[in-house]
This record gives sequence, structure tokens and C-alpha cells, in this order.
Amino acid sequence: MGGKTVAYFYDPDVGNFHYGPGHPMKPHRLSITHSLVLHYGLYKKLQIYRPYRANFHDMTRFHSEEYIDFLMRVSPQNVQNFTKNLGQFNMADDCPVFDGLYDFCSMYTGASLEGAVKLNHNCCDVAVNWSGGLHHAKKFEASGFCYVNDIVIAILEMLKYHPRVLYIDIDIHHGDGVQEAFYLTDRVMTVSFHKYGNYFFPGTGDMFEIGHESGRYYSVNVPLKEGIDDSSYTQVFKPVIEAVIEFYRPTAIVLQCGADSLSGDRLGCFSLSTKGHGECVNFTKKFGLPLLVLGGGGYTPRNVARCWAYETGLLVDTDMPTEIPYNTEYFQYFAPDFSLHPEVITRQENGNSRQYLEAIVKHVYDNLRMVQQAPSVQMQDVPRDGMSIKEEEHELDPDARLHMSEEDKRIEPDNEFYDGEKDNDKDEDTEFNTTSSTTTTTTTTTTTTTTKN
Amino acid sequence: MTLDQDKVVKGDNGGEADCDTPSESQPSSTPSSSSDSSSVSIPHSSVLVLGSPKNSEGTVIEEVMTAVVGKKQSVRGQAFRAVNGVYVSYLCKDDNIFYHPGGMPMFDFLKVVLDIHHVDSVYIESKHADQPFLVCSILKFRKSKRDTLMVNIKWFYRPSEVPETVYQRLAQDRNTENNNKSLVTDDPVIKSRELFISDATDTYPVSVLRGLCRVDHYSDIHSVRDFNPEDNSFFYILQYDPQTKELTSITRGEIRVGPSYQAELPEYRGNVVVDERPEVCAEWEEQRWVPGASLDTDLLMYLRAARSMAAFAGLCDGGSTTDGCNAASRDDTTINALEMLHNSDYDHGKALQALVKCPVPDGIEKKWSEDERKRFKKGLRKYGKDFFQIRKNLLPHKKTGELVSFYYLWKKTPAAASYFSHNCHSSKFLRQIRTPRAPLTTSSVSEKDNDSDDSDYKDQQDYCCLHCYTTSSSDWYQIGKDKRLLCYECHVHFKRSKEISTRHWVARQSRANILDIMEECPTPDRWTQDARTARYSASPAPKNVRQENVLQVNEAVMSPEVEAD
Repeated sequence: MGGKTVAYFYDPDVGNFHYGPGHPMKPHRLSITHSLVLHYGLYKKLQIYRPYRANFHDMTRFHSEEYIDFLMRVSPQNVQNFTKNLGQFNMADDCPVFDGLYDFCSMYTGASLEGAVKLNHNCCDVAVNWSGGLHHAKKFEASGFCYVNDIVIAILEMLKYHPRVLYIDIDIHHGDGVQEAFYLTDRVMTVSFHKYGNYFFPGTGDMFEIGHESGRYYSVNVPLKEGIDDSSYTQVFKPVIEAVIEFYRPTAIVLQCGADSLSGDRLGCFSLSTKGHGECVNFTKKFGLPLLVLGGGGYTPRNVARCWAYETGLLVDTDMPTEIPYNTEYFQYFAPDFSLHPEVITRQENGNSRQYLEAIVKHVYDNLRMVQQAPSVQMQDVPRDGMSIKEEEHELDPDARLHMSEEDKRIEPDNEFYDGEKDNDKDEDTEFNTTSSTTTTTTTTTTTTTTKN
Repeated sequence: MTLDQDKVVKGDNGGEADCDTPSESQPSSTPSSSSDSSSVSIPHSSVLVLGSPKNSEGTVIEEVMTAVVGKKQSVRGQAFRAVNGVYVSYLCKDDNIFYHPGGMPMFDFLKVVLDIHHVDSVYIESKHADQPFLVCSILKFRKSKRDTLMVNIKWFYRPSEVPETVYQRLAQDRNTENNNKSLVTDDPVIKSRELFISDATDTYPVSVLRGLCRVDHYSDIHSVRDFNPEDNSFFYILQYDPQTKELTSITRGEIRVGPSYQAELPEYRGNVVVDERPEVCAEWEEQRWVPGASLDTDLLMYLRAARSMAAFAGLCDGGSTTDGCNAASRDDTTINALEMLHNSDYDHGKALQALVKCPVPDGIEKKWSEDERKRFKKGLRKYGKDFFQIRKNLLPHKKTGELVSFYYLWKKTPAAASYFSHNCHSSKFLRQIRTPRAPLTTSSVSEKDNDSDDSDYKDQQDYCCLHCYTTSSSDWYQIGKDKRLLCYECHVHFKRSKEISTRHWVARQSRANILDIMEECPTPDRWTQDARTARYSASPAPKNVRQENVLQVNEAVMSPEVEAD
């Protein structure tokens, strides 16, 4: 039991949307995932929230008003009146207009945004929103099943109080929407691991896309070939992320966990197992930075559910039995093996030679070195908070951590209830105010004492 | 053997036979050297040891024979198999061309490093002998079950291979977009070099391979101006989808820079203390569960109690124990119990009391009447999974979301299974399997085959190529609808580039006239007859020219054996 508080956002309605016949993106995978989370007993360790719904104002923090206005108004009934806009906003085959489109966007975006706010307020250490992570959406247009880019909106919220945010993308597709949004800034580093070549969607993500102007060297791309397996993936993921953390020193991380990089995905062509995929989440978690975990692609719903349920378990440090809980309503979906970790069927040879991967990692290293040399105001004026906290944690790992977690546990139940309200009634309600301030002071004192230790 | 005496290699065309070998020097290469190499021609090479000699890098070389339809002689070659069992390249012995898969990882990587944007491609024989070679890129080699070395390829389409209407529409679009100004593609040579990339793949025996070529990619029609129409080079701009029969621009994404694309960053206010940050979580959220508020054991007991209540309620409602079990095991029951506990501030007693009033939320059974189910199934049959249409036309009082959630829970039930088994034989549910192109018959009208073709040219000596006017050729071919006769060389040129008309076309000229012109033309007869005869003896005809190139290149290597012979 790590002492991490994990906030989990799930709207019971988010799975009940449908992109249309034959469309590979199935929001219902979110309901299946939640059912597994529930029946694996993970809810016990989660702060579960029915998330906020993002409004026009929230979405236009990134997107153009014209585009969001269109999303709000368009529906299958009136779509013929918008033929001109459909082309303009790239709402063609990949991104159809379906019933409830705007509600869907507002649910997943709201959840990501709320996750960011909670992290900013230290209400949790990890925020999970499996319905988010729609990384292709652009400022002015939809793209690749993504309409509103909840990731960009969440990162924008985090940037209010975080000098540097790291974005990691393990979807099989390149995280082009996020990269493009932050292509010119050094305050967000985007790192994407994806299949590249042969015009695989979206066609960007070459290793030479490294950013521009102040953002030069702050976009990291790791193009991979089809058929990559767990060991090859780890061979690239770990050194790259380690180097990124070392050179960039982010104060928060956003992790997009697209599950289309799993083997057997309807659209993907990698050969990762759920364990291999989960290892990336686990590895990222270990840095102990505020972490926003998002979903993304994933087009074989049963595998998506397996993967994300397993990763939820990893985030709350719970060992999960391999057998799928028999009482989930979606039990039949996991036939015939009914296992959380089905055997990986490699449909494709691993096209990534060792040398190729080594060359890529070296390329990334070389660019990251430039990050350190690049004179950046941001890097200097920031107190070394993130780092020192991380070091503390490492130092006092065995006992102190347990200590804190125990304390958290005791406080939490009462604390949690007032926690929300304390922000709300700062002036009026003195009673709550005092309690909350005392709790915060106690926590701060604990941290300071531990530092001294 | 007599036929071989007619073989002619046209000096100016010889170079194109193989883009890899230094062909410029070829016409000047001496007859003597050619005759040397001739002695290693195919019949003798059988003395080479067959088997799998290992070279120093651990790559295994396998001798491969590939049978060719309609020919006695097999195509010989060597396959190079890497340590991991993957075939990395194939060497065709007849023309000594190395074929590599274009998609080798390291190779792609180098391409990126060296900023090479072309695709290495190959020609393969078309099943219609009178049509140009087909162009494709090699994906990989593999051994078939019958131990034939197969090549897996991805097609490029020539304009003639896409439906005429489609191509014409493209031409029109290009003209209108360009306001009818002159375009690069107005040049017939350039025009004939355009290809369309596709995702369609096929597998053939390696014997269909006919040499290498180069395909460049250009992002638009204007940048094609940079294209150099040298031999064996092509370009493509668009992608062709053989299934939808559409030409589409290639989705080659780009990261765009400008205020329309980047996000506007908020000001960094790191000095604001957490408590003073203005965003208010509580206004936004609706917490459904607090971890650790209830002890695990208590929770377990509570859930058991809740489920028992649900089971009993279900039993009373439905009348059977299975109904009870179903009610207890529904996700909704658990969720409902947990929410109740949360709403009762984790006071188990209070929560149980509340649960007594409502132990089970309404499930599918209650929410969906028999009639509604029937309508749903009808809708599914009629509209497929277009839940919006089903709702609109058949179940207007429900929400689309309800239909979706019903569908996914119902899908795996026995009732649904019977529904699907009823419908599965309607083929529209099955994806159409991509029909591969008809298998190639490696055909080149060889001497024997074309005997029957046309009575006009009974006597071979009277044949005359309508392109270069030669009367001597190893082979004669007819191309196009009007069955124009071409010599071997011109035919190869045509097959590759689909151009015949680089020179004056004199189809209607009299024989005498043609012969007159012939005198002025560079006659290939400079090449000594005996050299050619020796060289090509008993080898499959259409390969001759390339083989010749190769033999010259390989002379140095081969000569000891030649001497031995």
C-alpha cells in the first residue's frame, strides 16, 4: 500500500455513446473497464468522482470558438445544414457527427480538467480519467476520432501552477494534437512513442520533429516499427523517460495510455501485453510527481478494459488475480480465457531491430542534452521543489512513507468531506476553515519533519 | 539455338536494362569480355554446389529454383537468409539483380538519416504479356509451403490500371485547379511516369521479378517539376484505393506552426499558495466514493447484506432463484449499494436501512419490455448499429444512450446469440476479403508461343520493330490494341516506362521505307554475332539483356570458373 491518493473519474453515461455503425472507436469500452475496476474491488482504494462537465468556456481555452460552437449545435438531425462546416472542421469519416457528441466531449474533457485542478490543489497524487486522452484533436478541427483535446485543456490548467509539465504518450498513434499545441513552448515537453512509417496515421511523429523556436528540443518523438514486443518497448521507454526526467525536471506528468499499442488491437500493429503496457504506467508513477493518467485509443474493447483495469490496480498498488471476476456483467466479453493477461498472439514480426532502437535512444539523448544547455528562464526561476520532494521520498522510503500513508488514512475520511468545502467557504465558514487549515498545517509539518530526518 | 543469332542488343537501350549496374560502359565493352562471360552461362553453372554455404556474417545463402509457367527452364537465384530466419534479400542469377525488401528497419532508418524520399521498387511481369510490367515495392520474402521462394509486394498502380473515369476526373481537377495553364503532366513522358501508391498487397513467386526501379514521392503536382524522368524512375503523388476505386491524397501529416495551431499558455503563478488558488473543486465535483472510510471487512459484510437483499427482492419479483441471482450479481446492485453507503456517510446501518426501501435499481428486464426488445432487434436488422436511426424510427421514447447500453449487455446473452446466428449468413455482415489480383502467369511471348499469333509475320526474318526498325531480335512482341510489333529491347523499354513514342512512329510506313531508315539508325549489329550466340544459348529469352549486363559486371568474380570450364 503506497500512500498515494488516487482520484478516479467516471461518468456512468460516458460509455453509452456510439460513433456509428462500423466505427472502431467504441466508448462502451469505458463501461466495461469500470465494471472490472468495480469487481476487482479497486474502488475501495479510489476517490471516485462523477466528473464535472466541461462547458463552452473550458473548451475554448484551447479550441477556436467557431469550432466549439459548431460542436455544440451540430447533431445527426441537423447535420445537413452544416455541410460546409463538416469539411472545414474535418468532420468526415473518422470523426462522424453522432447523437450526444457534445455531451460526450464535455464529459471526457470535464473529467480531465477536474483531474488537473485536483492535482493543482494537492487533493490527490494521481488522477485517472480513462475516458480522456483524445490526443489528435486540433485547435480548429477534429481529427482521428478526437473532437476536443482534453489533454491540452488539462495541461493548460496545470501550467497555471506548474512551471514544466511532461506529457508522455504510449498510444500507438502519434500524439500530434498535443505536440502541435505546445510545439513552440518549453513549458511542456511532449514525448510520444508510436508507430511511424508507411503513412500510418497521422503521418507525423518523425524523430526529427523536435519543436520550434523556444520549443526546440521540447518535442521528443520515438518512431517505432510494427510488432514491437514488451522487452523492446521497455528497452526504449525506460531510458528515454529517465533521461527526459533527468534533463527536463518536470513538476507534473500527464500520461496518455492509449491501449491500441496492445497486441491484437483492431487498428494497432504492436505486440505489447497488458503487463508490458502497464509497466510503462508503473515506471512513470515511480517518479512520484503529480500524475494525470488518461485513456486514449484502443479498439478491441475487451483488451482495453483489461489493460486499463490492470493499470488502475497498479496505480493503487493492488495485486489483481488473473481471473476476471465472475460477477462482472461483461464476463462473457472475456471468453474464452477469462484472464486479465491473455496470451500475446504475435501477428507480426518485431520490425524493430536492437540497433534501430539503440540509434533512436541515442538520438533522443543527443537532443535532450541540448535541453540542458539551452538557456531557459523557466528552468532557473523555479525553486527545485519537484526535485527535492522526490529526493526526500527516496531517502525516507521505507518507514517514513508508511508513516505518512497511515496518517493520511486516518485523516482522510473526515478530511475529504471538508476538503472540498474548505475552498468553497473560505470567508464565511470559520469552523471549517480552521479545521482545514489545521489539517494542512499538520501535513506541512509532517513533510518538514520528514525532510529534517 | 538458331534463334539466338537474331538477338540484338540496342546500344542506346541497353543501359536501361538494369538501373543498378553501370550500364554506360556497356556498348563499348568489348566483345571479347562478353564472350568470356558467356562461358559461365546457365548450362554450366549447374556445377555450382547447391546447398546452404554459410558466409562469415552468419547469413545463409540458399540456392533457389523457381519454376516459370510455360517454360521448361526455372529461374535460378540465391536467397539470403539472416540468422533469425528472415530472408533479407534475393539474387536473381539470370540478371544478377539483388532484390531487397524496401521496408527493412535499418534501411528505413538510414533513409531518414540520409533524407531519401524515394521508394525502392521493382518491376514484375504482368499476366497480360502485351501490358507493361507492373510496379510494386517488396515487403518481404518468404518460403511457401512448397518451398518456393515467394515475394510479398505492395502495388503501385499505373494510370492505365485505374478506371479511366477516375483518372480522367483527376486530369480535369488538375486542369481546373491550375486554371488550364500548362502542367508538368502535359509532357507525355512525365505523364507516363506517374504512379499511384496503394495499400494492396500480393504474394508471388520470385520468378516474376523483372528488375529494379525507383519511385519518388512528391507532395503536389507542382513539385513534380523537380522530377527527372530518367530510365526506371517514376513518381507518385496520390494514393489509389482499389476497393473504393478512389484516388486520395496521402495523409502525410505535418505539424503546423502559427496562432491557429498552438495553444495560448496561461501565466505561471507558482507563488500562489495551494489554498489560495481560485479554482474550486467542490463546485465541480460530485464525489461518489471515499477510500478508507469504511473498513474492508465491514464493507464486505455490507455488500453481502446488500446483495442478499437484492437477491431476495429479485426472487420475489421474478419468482425463480435465477432471477434472484441475477439481481444480486448485477453491476447496478453493487454500485447502488456503494452509493447508498457513501450517501449515508459510511454509516452501514443507515445505508442498509435505506437499501431496504430500494434494494435493486431497475435493470434491463424492467426497463425493456418485450415489445421494445422486438423493435430493437428489428431496428438492428434494418439500420445496423446506427442506434440513432433505431431510436428515431422505432423507439422514440428512449434515449440513444439507453439503446447503446442495452445493446452491449444484450449482445452476449443467449437471446442475442440466436439473433446473430439467424443473421450471420447474410453476407453484408462479413467483411469482403480483398480479392487479390489474378495470379500472374509469367509470360513473355517466347519464340514458340508467338508462332500462332499472326500470319502476317510468318517469316521471322521479315519482322521489323516499329520503334527502332531493327529486323533482328531475340524475341518479338505485340503490344496494345493495334498489335504493334516490337523487338525485345523496345518491348522491355515499353514494359517499364510505357513509352514507345520517344522516336518517330512509323507504323504505316512501307517495309522498304523502314529498311531505309534502318540504315541510319545505330544498328545493334555492331555486337558480334558469335558473342551473343554463345552468351544466350539456352537461357530464357526475356532475361537475356539483363543477364548480359550482369555477366559483365561479374566477370572478375566468375572468371576463374570460366577458365576452369
